[in-house]
Amino acid sequence: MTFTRSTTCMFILLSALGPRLLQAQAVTAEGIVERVNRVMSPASIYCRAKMTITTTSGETRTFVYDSWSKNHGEKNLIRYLEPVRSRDQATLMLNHADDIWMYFPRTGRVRKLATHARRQKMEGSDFSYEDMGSGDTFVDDFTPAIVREETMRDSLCWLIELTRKPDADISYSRCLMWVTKGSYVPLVIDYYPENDPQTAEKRLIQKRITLVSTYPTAMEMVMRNLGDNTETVMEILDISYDLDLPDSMFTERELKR
Amino acid sequence: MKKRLTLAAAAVIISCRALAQEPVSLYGYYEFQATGARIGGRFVQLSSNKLRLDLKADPARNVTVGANVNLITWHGKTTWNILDFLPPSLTETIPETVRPWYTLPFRDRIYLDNAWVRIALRYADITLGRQQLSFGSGYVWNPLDLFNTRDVLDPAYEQPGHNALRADLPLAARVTLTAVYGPADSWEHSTKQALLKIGVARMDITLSAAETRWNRHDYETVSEDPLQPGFAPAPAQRTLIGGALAGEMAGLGVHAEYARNCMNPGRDFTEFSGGIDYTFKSGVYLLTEYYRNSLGRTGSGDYTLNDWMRFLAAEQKTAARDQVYGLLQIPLTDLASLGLSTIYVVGDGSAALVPTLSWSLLQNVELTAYLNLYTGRSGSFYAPGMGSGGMVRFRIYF
Repeated sequence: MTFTRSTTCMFILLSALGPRLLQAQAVTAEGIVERVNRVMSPASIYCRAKMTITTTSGETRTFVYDSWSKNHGEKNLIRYLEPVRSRDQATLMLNHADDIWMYFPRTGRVRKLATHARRQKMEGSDFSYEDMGSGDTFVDDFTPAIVREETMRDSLCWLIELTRKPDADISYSRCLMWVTKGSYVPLVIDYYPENDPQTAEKRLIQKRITLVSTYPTAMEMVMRNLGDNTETVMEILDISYDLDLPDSMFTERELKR
Repeated sequence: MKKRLTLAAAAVIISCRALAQEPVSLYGYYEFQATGARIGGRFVQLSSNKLRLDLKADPARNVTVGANVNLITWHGKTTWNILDFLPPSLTETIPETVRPWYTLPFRDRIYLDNAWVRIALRYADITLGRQQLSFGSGYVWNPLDLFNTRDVLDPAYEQPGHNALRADLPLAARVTLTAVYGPADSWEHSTKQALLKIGVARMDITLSAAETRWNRHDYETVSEDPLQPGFAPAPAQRTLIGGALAGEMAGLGVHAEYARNCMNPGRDFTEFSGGIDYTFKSGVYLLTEYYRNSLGRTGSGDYTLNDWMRFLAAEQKTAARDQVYGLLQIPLTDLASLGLSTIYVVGDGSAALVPTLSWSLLQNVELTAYLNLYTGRSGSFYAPGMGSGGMVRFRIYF
């Protein structure tokens, strides 16, 4: 069997371009968001994080908490370690934050909150409970579309527009997401409110992307409230993925421990 | 007294420090509180200093020990006569010799508020000792709670510890059986309560049965026992059957609680509380709660001395039959919120308006302030004679 020059050239060209062509064929908005979801919402996570809130007046408040998450964010448990006034206060979120229970150690009470409470700021931060516990929301609650490719913070990204599905119970009408090509990490997400889908309400910036286990992980996240000019920085102090977390961890019994 | 307090505080701190090797956690807060009220044409004030010292440790696997000591000093008008707040129609017939008995003193105190051990077994959590016990889904009124009576002006304030044995048994996912035994001088007089909590869709439903000795007093009769001078005890055996729910309906948070109380001796009564709450996108939070207690009176002229005294001594949750509570909470800044709560008594048309400011001054420093403005006629539940005024509280956590 002999190869002609033209066949050889074609083979080399296909070898070089093949994966790109295949990738181009495979790349859909749904596919990208599915990959983003896998990166942002692994099967299970333990995380210790430090949350620093900077207010409009420039004052800061710092919180340290432990969180555990299971079933790609469907179950979440958050327990505060600092500051002292919030110590042992805990929040349990099940069914992607559709069910929320809060435990207040000073009164020994557990309160079941309705889903509207998801809109409340988490300890006064720029993250809402919805932002923290909504798991597969980008896949389940939004319809994605690729807007264009552009460079964001020196990385070539897909700009994805996520439009809320008509029946989705989520506070944001749409999101714009800059997703790095290759690692599928969203570097920036803009959140648009229900009443004004043209003006971004909040911007999430993911920084210090580090590979932990097999997951590219933003070790620092900044949520900016663009209207109020406040921001919350969340630094990951410790994180591990794909742990064997029992279902019994995500119960009222564990909430009160 | 001051010397004793200082010595006791030092002893507690030193002993806590001695214990404070890993993994014992020591924390707490200092609280300054100033209260003022206009009573009988005079503005009187009372302030307090409270030091709360908490410790928590895990001495063995699945074993947790917790405790706190409270030290409180009172200043200003530390002796209040409850008769000063009540309508003259109720008080004018009380003999001068008995009047001092209606005095409510605020005494400096050091006390062990909580001291408990919790053992987490495979199928149950057992908690033994003085502990927080708080049941029911209501925000202000909890018919299922036999242990606490909340202050309607400040319902979120911490409740005292109660001596009890508590067992929580998770029977299935979202099904928990809780059994509480609060020992008294005999089994009959002890509090026994069982609560079965079941999660159904977006609702938590609780069924409860309880028996307790209700240690009320007859404030219109003086005890004839020379060894125990004071008002005559009027205890009754109380058997409670009830239930509660908390969850969501049509996008609103809903909660409800009901208890049927059989008294021996005495008149049986029912209690119901139910409410809704909602958080708007702006962060504004709205809550309303209705409370009915069939022991309560319906009109402004109906309240008896016993009603008032039992209410003010926290023996009874209320003296009025139907009340509506409303709370509007508005975030002012990231660190401050303004609230307005209103308690309206349906029967006599009186109301208490309570504008509240909550402000996180520094990382571990909080300021809470409220005014309590009473609008009713003389003799009504929230009459100005009850002492319209206000409160400022600084709390520093450490």
